[in-house]
Amino acid sequence: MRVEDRRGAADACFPSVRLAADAGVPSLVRGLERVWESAHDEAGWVTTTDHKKIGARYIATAFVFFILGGIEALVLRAQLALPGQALVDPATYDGLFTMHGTTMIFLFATPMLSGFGNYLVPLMIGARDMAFPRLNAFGYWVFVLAGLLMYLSFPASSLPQNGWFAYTPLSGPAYSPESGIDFWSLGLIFLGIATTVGGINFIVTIAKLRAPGMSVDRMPLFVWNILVTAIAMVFAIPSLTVAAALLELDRYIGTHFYDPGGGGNPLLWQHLFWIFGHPDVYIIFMPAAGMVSSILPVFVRRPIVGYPALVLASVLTIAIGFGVWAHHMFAVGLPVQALGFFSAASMLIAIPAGLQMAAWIATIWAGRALWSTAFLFAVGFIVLFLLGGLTGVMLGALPFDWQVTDSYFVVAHFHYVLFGGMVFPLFGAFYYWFPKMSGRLLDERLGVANFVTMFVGFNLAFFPMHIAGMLGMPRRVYTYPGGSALDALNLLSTAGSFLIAVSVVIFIANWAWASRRGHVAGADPWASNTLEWATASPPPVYNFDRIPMVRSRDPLWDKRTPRTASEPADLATSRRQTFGTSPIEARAETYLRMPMDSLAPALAAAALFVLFAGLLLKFLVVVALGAVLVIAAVVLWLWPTREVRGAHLPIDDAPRAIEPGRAPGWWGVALLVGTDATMFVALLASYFYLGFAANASWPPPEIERPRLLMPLIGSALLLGSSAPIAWAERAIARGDRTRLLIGLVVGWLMSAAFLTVQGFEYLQKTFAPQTNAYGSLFFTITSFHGLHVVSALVLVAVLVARGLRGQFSRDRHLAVQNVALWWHFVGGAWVAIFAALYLSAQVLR
Amino acid sequence: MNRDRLLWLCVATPITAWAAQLLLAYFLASLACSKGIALPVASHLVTVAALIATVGALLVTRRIRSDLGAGGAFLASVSALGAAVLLVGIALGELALLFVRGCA
Repeated sequence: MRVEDRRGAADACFPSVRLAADAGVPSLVRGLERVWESAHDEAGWVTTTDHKKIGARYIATAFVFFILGGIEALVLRAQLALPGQALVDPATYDGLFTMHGTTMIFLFATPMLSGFGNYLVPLMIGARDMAFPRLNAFGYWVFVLAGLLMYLSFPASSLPQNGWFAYTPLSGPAYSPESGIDFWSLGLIFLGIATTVGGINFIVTIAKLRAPGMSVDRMPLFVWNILVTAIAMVFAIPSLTVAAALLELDRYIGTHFYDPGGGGNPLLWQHLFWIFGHPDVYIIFMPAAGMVSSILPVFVRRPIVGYPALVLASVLTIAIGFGVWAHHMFAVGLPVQALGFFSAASMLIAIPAGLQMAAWIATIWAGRALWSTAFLFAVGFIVLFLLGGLTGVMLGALPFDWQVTDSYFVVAHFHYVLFGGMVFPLFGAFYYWFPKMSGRLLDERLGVANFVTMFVGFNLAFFPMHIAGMLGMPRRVYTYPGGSALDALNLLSTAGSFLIAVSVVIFIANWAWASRRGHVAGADPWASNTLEWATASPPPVYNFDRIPMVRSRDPLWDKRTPRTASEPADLATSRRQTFGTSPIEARAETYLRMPMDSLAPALAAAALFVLFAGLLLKFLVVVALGAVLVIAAVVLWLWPTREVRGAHLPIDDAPRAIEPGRAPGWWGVALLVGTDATMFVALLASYFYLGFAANASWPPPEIERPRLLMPLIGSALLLGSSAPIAWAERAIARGDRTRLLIGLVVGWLMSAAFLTVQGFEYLQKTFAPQTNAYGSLFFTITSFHGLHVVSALVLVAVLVARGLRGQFSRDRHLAVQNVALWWHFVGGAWVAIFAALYLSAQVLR
Repeated sequence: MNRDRLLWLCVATPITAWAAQLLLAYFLASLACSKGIALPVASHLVTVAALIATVGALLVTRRIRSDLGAGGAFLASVSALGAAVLLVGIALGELALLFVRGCA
C-alpha cells in the first residue's frame, strides 16, 4: 500500500486535526525565528542549544558507535565461525568483546535513546526546548569526548580485556597492570556525567514544561517511558561511578577496596556494578518499549489498549529492576537463603512485562493493521522480546541459572532482550520518525528488505547460541575444539551476524537515498496522534509558533476544535520562552525564560576531557589544569550575560522570583542532590559491607578508634554554616542585599574553617588510604565530602561576586535559592558520614 | 497533610516497603549464615510490616482518589494497582524466607 493510500485509510478512521496556529502569522513566525535561530557559522554549530540539533547529533554519533561495535562483533564471529581459527589472538579477542559490549551498552544504546528523547520529548509535550538547553549541549559534548577517550585505547594499543562488567580482581592492578582498564573506567566515569545530566534534564522537562492541559494521564507513553528511564539513570549511574572510581583508586594509589589482602572484597565490585547494571537493562529497554507504544496505535488505527497498565508496567519494571541486581550473582557463593529473595523478585518482573505484552497484542488484535516497515519492526520486537523474557524467567530460577551461567545461553538471552528489545524498536522508530526529522520518507521496499534480513539474521545468529550454551560452550572463549555439534551452531551464528550486517547496509543505503530523493512527507504522513506531528517536518527551530492546549491523550485524533495556550506574542518574540506548568495536572504557571546559545557547555566538556586525560596519563599538572578550566567554564556558564535587546535578554528581563518548588532550576538542583546522595549511600554502604564482610571489629584492631573532639568542632562549624546561608536567603527574599552578602560571607568562612579542621585531623591520623580497606574508605569518603564543600565554597563565592554587582533582588534570586539547597545538602551529608565513620566506630569496635 | 503530598507518600510507600523487605531479609539471611544461626524471627516481622504499610497505602490511595484532579486520580489508580502487584512481591519474598534454606 502506498503512503498516500495509508493516509487516506487513516483519515477514514481518525480525521487528523491540525492546530489552528499551523498556518502561522508571518510576523510572529519571523519574530520566533529571530529569537530561536542559532548562528549559521561554525561557532553556531558548536554553541547551539537546539534540542533537535543535539538530538540528531546524539543519534548520528551513537549510530557511528553502533557501526564500530558491529564491526567488532563481526570480527568476533568470524573468529568463531570455525573451530581452531587464529584470525585474532586471544588478547585481541578479549579486547574486542570488551569493547563490543562497552560500545553497544554505553556508547550506542543509551545515547541513541537519549537522542530520540532529546529530539522528540519537547515536541511531544508541546514545549519549545528542554528545561536546561545548555546542560543538554554539555551532555552531548561529554558523551562524544568520553567515547573518544575510550576509543583512544585502540591507537594506544591498550584495549581493556575484562568484559563489559570488568570483574575484580581480574581488572585490578595485580592482573591487569596495563592501562586498558583505565581507559575503560575513566571513560565510564566521564560518560556518567553526560548520562546523569541528561536524566535530570529529561525529568525536569517532562515535569515542568508540558503544554497546558497535558496532565499525567494524557502524556504520550514514549514520554512516560523516558521519564521513568531518566529517574533510573539519575539513581543507577552513581553506583557505577562509585565502583569505577574505587577501582581507579585501587589501581592508582594502592587502596584496598577490592583487594582481600588489604581487607577489601572483590564482591563489592559486583554489588556496586550490578546495582547499576540491572536497572541499565531497563534504561535501555524502556524508551524502546515507549517507541513501540507510539508506533502500534498509529498503524492499527486505534488508541492503545490499557494505557494505565502500560504506565504501571513501566514504573514497576524500573522500580523492581533496582531490587534484582543479585540475580547476576547467583553463582558467586552468596547464601542460598538470601538468593531466594532475589529469585522471587526476578519472577515478579514477569508481571509488568506480561502486562505490556498483553496491552500491545490487544492493541494489534483490536485494530486494523497497516503493515508498514515501522509496524513490522514493532511486531518483530514483540516476538523477540517475548522469547528473551521467557529465557529471563528461566535464568531467574536458581538451579537453572547455576547450570548455564557464563555460557552462550546467557549471551543468547541478553541479545534477545537487548537487540530484540531495543534495536528492533529503534529501527521501527527510524522508519516512523525519519519523516519528521528530515521531511522525507524512507523507502518502504528497502524497509521491508531491511526488516526481513534483520529478523532472519538475528534469529540465525542468536537462537543457536541457546543450544550452544546448553551444550556447555562458555562465553568469552576465542576458540573451541572441532568435531562436535558446536561447529555447525557457531557457523550458523556467524552467518546470521553477517546477514544482520547486510541488513544495516540496506538501512544506510535507504537513509542516504531518502535524505535526498525520498518522497516529501508533509507534516504528518502517518495520520498520527501525538503533538510532534502537529508541526512542520522538519520542525521549525521554535517547534510551535503557538503552544498547543491539550485536551486528550491523542490530541491529533481529538475531533474537537484544537486550541492553543494564551501567550503574549510580543513576549514570545522578544526572548526565548516556553510554558512552565504544574507537574501533575499541567496547569500553566509561568513563562519560562530559556537561555541563549553558549560556548560554555562545549568548553566545560573540553575542560573535563583535559582533566580525565590527565588522570589517564597520571600527569597531575594536567589534572590540575583541567580542574581550573572546569571551574572557569562553569563560572562563565553561570554568569548572566548583559547584551543588547533583540539578540540576548538584558538581566532586567530575568524571570521573577517564583516558589522554589516551581522553578525548574530548583528541581534540577534537587535531582542533583538526589544523585549525589546516592553516591554517598553507595560509599557508606561499601563501608558497612566491608566491615560486615571482615567479620571482626570495624575499624580493624590495628587502627585506632576515631577521636571525636576535632570532628565535633568541624561538624559544628559546617552544620552551623547553614544558618547564615538560610539567613541570607531570607534576607534577599525581603530585598536586603547587605544582609545577603553578610550571610554568604559568614557561611563561607565557617565552611572554610571546617575544611581547615579536617585538614588538621588528617595530619593526626596514624593510617593512610593505603594501609587497609578501612583507611581507603575513611579517606575516600571524607575527601569526597570535602570536594563537595569546595564546590559549595566556589558557588557561594560566585554568588558574592554577583551580589556585589547588584544582580540579586527580591524578585530575582533563584541562584541564591539553588546554591542554598546545595549548601544544606552538603551539611546533611556530613551528618550521615559523621554517624557512620565516627559514631558507629565507637559501637562496632 | 495536603492531598498532593499524601498522594506522593502513597505512591512511594509500597515500593519502599517491598525494597525494605528485600534488603533487610537479604541482610538478615547473610547475617544468620555468617554467624551460623537460624534465620531471626525479625525477618518475618519485616514482612508483616511491609504488608501493613502497603495495604495502608492502597487503602488511603483509594480514599483520596476522588478528591484529586484528573492527573492525580490517574496517579492514584496506577499507584493502587502497583501496590497490589507489590503485595504479591512481598508475599513471594516471604515464601522464599519460609521455604528456601541453606547457606552454601
